[in-house]
Amino acid sequence: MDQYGTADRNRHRVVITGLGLTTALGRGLDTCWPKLIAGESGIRPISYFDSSEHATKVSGEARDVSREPDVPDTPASYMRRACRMFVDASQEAWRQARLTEMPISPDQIGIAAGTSTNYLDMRLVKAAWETRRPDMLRTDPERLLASGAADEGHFYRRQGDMIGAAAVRKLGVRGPVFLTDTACSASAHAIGLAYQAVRRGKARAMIAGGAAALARPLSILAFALLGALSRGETPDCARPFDKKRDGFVMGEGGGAIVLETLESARERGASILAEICGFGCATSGHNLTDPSPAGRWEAQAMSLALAEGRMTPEQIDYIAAHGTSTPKNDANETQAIKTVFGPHAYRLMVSSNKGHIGHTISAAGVCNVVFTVRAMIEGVAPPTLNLRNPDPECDLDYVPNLGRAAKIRTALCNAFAFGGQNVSLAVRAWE
Amino acid sequence: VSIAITGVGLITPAGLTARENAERIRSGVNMQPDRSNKSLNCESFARAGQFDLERRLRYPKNIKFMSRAVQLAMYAALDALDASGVSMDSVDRARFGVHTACGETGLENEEFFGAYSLAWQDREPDFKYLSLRASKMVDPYFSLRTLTNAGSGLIAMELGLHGTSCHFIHGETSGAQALEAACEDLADRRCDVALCGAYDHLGTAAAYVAYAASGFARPRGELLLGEGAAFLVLERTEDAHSRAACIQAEVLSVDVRAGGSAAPPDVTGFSVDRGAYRPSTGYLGAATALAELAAGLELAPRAALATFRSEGWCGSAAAITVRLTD
Repeated sequence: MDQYGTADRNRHRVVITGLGLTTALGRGLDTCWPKLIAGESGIRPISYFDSSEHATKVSGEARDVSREPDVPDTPASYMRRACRMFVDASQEAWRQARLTEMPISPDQIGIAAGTSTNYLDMRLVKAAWETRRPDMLRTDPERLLASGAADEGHFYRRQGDMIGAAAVRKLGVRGPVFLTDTACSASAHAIGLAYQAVRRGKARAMIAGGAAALARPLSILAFALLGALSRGETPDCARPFDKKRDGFVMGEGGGAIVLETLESARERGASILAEICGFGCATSGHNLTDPSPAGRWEAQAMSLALAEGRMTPEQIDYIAAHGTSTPKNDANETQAIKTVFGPHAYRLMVSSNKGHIGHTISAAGVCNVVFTVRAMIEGVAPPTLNLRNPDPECDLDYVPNLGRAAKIRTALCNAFAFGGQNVSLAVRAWE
Repeated sequence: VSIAITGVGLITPAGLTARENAERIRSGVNMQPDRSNKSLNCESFARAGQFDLERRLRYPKNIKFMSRAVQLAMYAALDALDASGVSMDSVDRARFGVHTACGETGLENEEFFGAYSLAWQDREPDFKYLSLRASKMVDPYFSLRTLTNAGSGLIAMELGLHGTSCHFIHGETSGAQALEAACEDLADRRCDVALCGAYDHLGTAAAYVAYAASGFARPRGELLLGEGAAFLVLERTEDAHSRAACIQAEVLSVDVRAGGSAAPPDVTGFSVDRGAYRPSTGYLGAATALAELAAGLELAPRAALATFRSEGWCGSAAAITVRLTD
């Protein structure tokens, strides 16, 4: 009965058999990938609202997202944009894993998704203002309710867990479920938890990833208040590791991967794309927005992922960096990499996709994993876009501006969060 | 490996401790709505009693980063830690985990009203005018309070914790997810001690409008929205024994499922009567599952097996089974 006393815990190898992605570069990994390695950017002037009087004028909006994803028992009005992006990505990963033709029992497949709970319905925001109390700057809930601006769907769009529920209903799975919100590391956490569930046999397969769509006026305003956003006015202002970087550009994205036991993939005859072999997690416990001093706890997350994957630092060929394009993160992450890898830090490749797609917040971790697995398959290291001015504090090989032919056998994928939750995932190519 | 609960903290409208909560539930006293809350329908919300958090904090200035929900979380977390007897001087903080859950934190529209007043007064509301100048009317610490995971981050900062951590959002079952993650991390020896909890504050206009419009909360529905936090200190039982800790219960299993029903072990044990519990505390959102567990540890007979079930709004189901220590 005691599930923690089970002998032979963590007995399964965990492989990836499906990938799905929606970003500012397009819908579907086959659309995003060629643009990524060609150094194309999906960042454009903000279209959701007139940003002419705002300090932030560009974002990485995902322009091709299902409006009616046809989820059983779930009207489209129940699903916010991030939710629909995750459904799209999950379906793509599901198809690649051929889970319809070669199924697994629904009780044996679960969902792990990371997202941002933050949601404000723009129509409701205006209605709340228009029906506010006349004597003070407060909502008048009864007048707002009477206005009819809040419908039944509003309740469900507000629920962060709808992202998991919609994917569950669309794919018809009934296994374990984990829904995380650790800001920028949420989808990396989700993948780590899914990896653990498959590894210990709690599920035979998991759909894992996440999505976020925060390129909205109030989210942008909230991040601008933190001084985290670039004030640049052109799409090239997202420039990870560049000396002139001044903050990140808000992006939108959703991604999913199918994880399953090696035995399951072999039994089904599924194509194995890569293996997840380590999940490291450490908490900064230092400051809600700043990285830890000298990158100590970011380094700890990477070290733990390496140790669990039974890898030495010298075995790592590539790091998909968190690389947000903020002055602090990029210098700090570079320092953390040097701490973990020593002289090998100068031999491995490091890159960030934030110059192409912006910072997708909760989806950042899964974007890194999906692009890394594709890089292993294609033999091309993804570039860091808009890197033109070397920064003495960022002196590693960041694969500037164009993809590079390279054999990537082992990699780490980083995601570090406001709030201090640092995650690193170890990925091994399948040969 | 077995996982022991060695400390409990619980704050709800029914009381500031697990014992107070249990006594209120046992006596069958229903929670009265908070009629002093002028910004909400007074029939809709139950508030926790007054508590002094600031004086307990090592870094009291950080209270400005804490939403009401996080203040509740911090209070319950500190209580659980005190009750556990874990010495922060001897524990390895790099191996001390924090696993949390909540549901209703995040962007709060009212916080922007100052900016709206500058941007939209006497003209059509248009986001075009919400420039950085207007944003200066917003409390600069507000953005940090909107971070859903700020609770685990601030608890880690307060206590100097650096181990594994995660934050879950899954309606009423999210506390069970946090508990499952903490137990697995302990069983895998990813951490040696875990502070695990859930918290929520539904006393906001945004929560009220959403729950009332959907027909769940009063006046159109039955729910009396509440607030609360429940935290547990978890350790491997062998470690708890070796420091002669008082073990309140052992966690036997946690299961959270996407659809259908969760799968507890086949036992018929004690379970808290939710019909009695909710009127005593109000609806606690994400804190529900762990709050019922925390109060249940006081209510259940010793040596009993107890199963706690919860279901989320979006179709998840959770079951937690514990054995109370004699």
